[in-house]
Amino acid sequence: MMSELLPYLKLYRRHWGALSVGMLLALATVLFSLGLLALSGWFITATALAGLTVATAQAFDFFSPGAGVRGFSIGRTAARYFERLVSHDATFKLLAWLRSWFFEKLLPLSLTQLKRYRKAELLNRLVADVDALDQLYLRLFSPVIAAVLVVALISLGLSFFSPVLGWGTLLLMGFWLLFLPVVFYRLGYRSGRSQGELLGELRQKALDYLQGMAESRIYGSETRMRARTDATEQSLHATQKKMSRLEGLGGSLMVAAAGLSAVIMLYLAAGEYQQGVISGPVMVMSVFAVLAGFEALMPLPGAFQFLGHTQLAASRLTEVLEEEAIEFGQKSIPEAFKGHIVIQDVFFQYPSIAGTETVGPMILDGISLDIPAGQHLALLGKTGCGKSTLIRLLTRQLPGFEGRIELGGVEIDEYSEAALYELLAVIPQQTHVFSASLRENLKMALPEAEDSTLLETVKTVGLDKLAAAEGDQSVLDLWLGQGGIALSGGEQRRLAIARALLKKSEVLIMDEASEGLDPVSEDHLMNQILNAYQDKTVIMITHKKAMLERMDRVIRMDGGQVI
Amino acid sequence: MSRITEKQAYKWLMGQLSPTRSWLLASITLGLINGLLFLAQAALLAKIIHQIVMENAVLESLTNDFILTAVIILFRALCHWGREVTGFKAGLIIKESIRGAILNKLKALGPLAIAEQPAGSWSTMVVEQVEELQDFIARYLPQMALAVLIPLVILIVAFPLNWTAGLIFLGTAPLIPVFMALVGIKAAEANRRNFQALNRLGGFFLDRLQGMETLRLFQRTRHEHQSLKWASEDFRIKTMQVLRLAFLSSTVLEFFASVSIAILAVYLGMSFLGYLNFGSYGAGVSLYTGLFLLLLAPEFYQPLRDLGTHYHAKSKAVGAAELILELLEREESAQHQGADLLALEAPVSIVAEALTVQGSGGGRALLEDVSFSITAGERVAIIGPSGAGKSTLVNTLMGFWNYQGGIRVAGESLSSLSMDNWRKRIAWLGQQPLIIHGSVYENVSFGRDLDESQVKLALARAQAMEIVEQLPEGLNSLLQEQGGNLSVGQAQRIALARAIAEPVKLLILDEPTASLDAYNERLVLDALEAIDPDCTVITVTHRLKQIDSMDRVLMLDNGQLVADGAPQALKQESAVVQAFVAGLAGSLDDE
Repeated sequence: MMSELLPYLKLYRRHWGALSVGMLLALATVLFSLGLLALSGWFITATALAGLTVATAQAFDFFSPGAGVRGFSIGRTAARYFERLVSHDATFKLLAWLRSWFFEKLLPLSLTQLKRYRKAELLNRLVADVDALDQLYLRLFSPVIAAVLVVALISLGLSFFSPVLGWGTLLLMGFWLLFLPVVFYRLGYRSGRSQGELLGELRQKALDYLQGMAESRIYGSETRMRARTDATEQSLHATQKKMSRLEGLGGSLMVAAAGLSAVIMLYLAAGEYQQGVISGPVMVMSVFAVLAGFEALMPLPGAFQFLGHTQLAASRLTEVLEEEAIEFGQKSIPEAFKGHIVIQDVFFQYPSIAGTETVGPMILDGISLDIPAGQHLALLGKTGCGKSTLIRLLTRQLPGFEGRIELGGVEIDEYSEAALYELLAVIPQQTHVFSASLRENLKMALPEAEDSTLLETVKTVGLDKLAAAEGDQSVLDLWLGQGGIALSGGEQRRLAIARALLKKSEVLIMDEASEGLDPVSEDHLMNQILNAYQDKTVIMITHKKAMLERMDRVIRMDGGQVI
Repeated sequence: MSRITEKQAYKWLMGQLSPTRSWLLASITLGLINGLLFLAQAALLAKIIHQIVMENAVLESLTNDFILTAVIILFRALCHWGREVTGFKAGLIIKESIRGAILNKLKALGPLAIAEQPAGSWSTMVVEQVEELQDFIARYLPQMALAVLIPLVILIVAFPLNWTAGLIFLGTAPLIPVFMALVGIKAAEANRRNFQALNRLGGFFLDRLQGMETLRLFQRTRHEHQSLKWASEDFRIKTMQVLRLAFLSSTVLEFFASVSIAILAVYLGMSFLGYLNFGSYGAGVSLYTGLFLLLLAPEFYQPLRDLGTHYHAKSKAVGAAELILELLEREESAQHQGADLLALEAPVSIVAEALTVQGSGGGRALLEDVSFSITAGERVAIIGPSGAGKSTLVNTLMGFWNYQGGIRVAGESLSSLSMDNWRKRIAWLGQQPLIIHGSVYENVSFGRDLDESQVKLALARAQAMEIVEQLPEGLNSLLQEQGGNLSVGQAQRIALARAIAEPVKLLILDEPTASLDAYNERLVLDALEAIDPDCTVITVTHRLKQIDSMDRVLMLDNGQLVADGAPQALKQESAVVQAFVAGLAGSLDDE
């Protein structure tokens, strides 16, 4: 049952130091708290017995147990405090590490595969799945190991006084230690999984209902569409009810287990006492120890009930990580590089879509194109004619095509990743605005750029107007993206153009770069960018006639071919 | 929209509890009974030990006490289970009613208000934010009552037995409200910071994942990988600084719980040894009393400690309530709704007289003083630059906007018609095809009573049968929302099948081919050619070719009607139309 988690369990090794300290402190907390109650019980009973006669009362050494009781109480407080600190700190570290590890793992994947996850919802799930993994330590490992050690230590400790009590404890507590995980894992497994799925389904149905509000009003089916949402809500609630019953069952089992074990322990200890094996105070101590020891078992039902959820998260992540990676070559940029692009008999089709047998249509159907270095080429064609696919092959965002694509005399898959992307500058259809300052957003393109260079570029593309609305703050310090200024479509284009201006590479690729700009800015910005790339190779996808006059050559595509 | 404060949200949330009050009470009562039974269990254990150790009782004579203890423990387990179940039920009722209220509100606000925000943010509210209320209602609220009640019961029991023990408890009892506040404020602060840090980190991570493509093209992945590490480290250090202090408050509680056990044990021991001689009203402390009190000590603080662990449930719930309340308090624009019914077969002519539509924000009118007349069966194009009011006009015709002035459809005033009845005459196809998560059949029938042959006929008329034939399970194949197993063009043909599945008298098309390639555009246009000639068709469009084949063209600009006439005549006579058409010709889409 753990095979899904195995690859992730290995990750914990890196942090075993901090994690074990946390675990030891958790163990110490339980032991101190157990010691406090057990020793107090022993102390009261012993003093009560000693108090029966004056002589024994005066002979009784109350200093050591008194000090022990005080020590345990302080110890418990301190251990609990540090346990919380250390385990939270460790969790933060683990979380940071997991994310950075996952990020690293995603890097070599093909961008098209990642694009499927770009829809915020899927990515959110991905992020939540990574989060679920770090819960593994706090919710599962630490409690299980602490529980095992506590049971072992109580049994061992009591066996010094009487083997019967030692074995009794081991059997009583050991039974629950084995029983609870198995039962709750099995019980929680299915409902835990279906709860996650139903939550997703409810989200989908609610989305359908809300997005389809206009349609359902027009077709008079609002009530029925709402009923779909309500039905899913009902089944979600039914599953949650099951889960909550399980949780209730877990809690009540623990109440019963702790109480009944203490009673049985008392019965056993009383027998030992009456046979003279142990003293009265030890009898009380053993009962209190078992009673308090169950505190260590409390988290187990919950931990195993949700294990199914964690496993699901792990298997989803594995699925993502196992996707095909794009392999880059080793070659660096040849000396005297010229941006000469040769596309020769290139065929491409998307692999079959999951769930259907049919293979996607031929997107590129034996296309050939020779673009001399320094040529400015416009690429025209209807949506779906294959021009965007061609660009994606050229920028190696799509794996697997037939034919030959050369850049500067070298096949593009022979370039190292660093070399290829140093050669290419891309203004994509959609610009990602990072949640960072404008400075950081621009420095993507030219990390070593001075503020003065950045400011100049900002003025060139007209993004300096952003600062006017935001007071006298330096425009470069403006925070963009999530939690900052949301850029309009036109402003996003300007940002992308600014990045391309800063990067100044050998080849520039623009995918409808002037969409969303007013004619005056469009004119100005296209002049700027085409001047900056005057001697370089430029490929531009466009829908606008006005653009064509600036280009050296116009190519029209249809059905995956040049026409 | 007014900002909702935390206080308002909390107050509102507490006001929502009335339908679930009895379940909450049941949960609290069961928790209290559990506490009382614990007292009995402790008393019995203490008694048995006392009997064995002090009275040398034979084990067999205590059999009944053993059994009674076991029975009490089983009842406690039952109470615990009942508490969980009733609490859950309480949460469920609230979730259901609030989820219903959100959906009803969104329905009342209408499709145009829904479209103002990404649909994802609404579904997050309907699903996740409502779920956040569960633990607050099911666990936190009952626990809040128990954190007061159980210590009180223990005090009432302890004092008559031994006033010193009572005092030890009571000595810390006045501090309980202080703790409640401390645990409340500090734990809230700790939790808030903790969640904030996690959320921010999550946001940062998500943002960098979304921008992976850009990062890679600029070869910045290594750098961002580093910043991800730094950001995490930075967040960790800052958050830990806060947590270090915040955890102290719960540690104080922990300290009192531990120390009261220690003081009690030492006090009892010294009393037994005869060093202390007060507290038990002169009767002397028995082992029974001593053990009983000792067992009660941890239980005195336990409810409060439990409350602390549920605290984050409160802050999450209040946070969610803020957003929900903000939505629920939004004003609904009164929508016109009459009672008159149109005859089903009546052809739809449309006459607008001085039609004016105000936007929801106040501001400039979306449509101003627009008058036109469309005869039944006419094919009409609505053109104009974006923001001219084209969508507003068709939305008004569908009854989604309030208007001033007059609209008469088939001779009746639109505002006097029953909207449900009127909308039965209309079909609509938008720019972005809507595909719901369901089968082809569900997508076409869309909640209407259509049989399979009707659906197939609609698909055939929409040139969409070929799509269905490719799918493994025909009509029952599941369709996935955008980008799943359908291209946009295919999705639009399915949506078209939905629109023409039932005969209508008015077909409204809002740029039906804007996002389609040539092949799909031709199929969609062919399908539209075959529409019943009695049916009035209004098309919002940017495509020159489509304009030419229309009977009439209405051009809007800035909310006003600037041209109205046959396409060929307008192209020759109207300067605004000429300018607009020249602009369209600048796009290469039409060639």
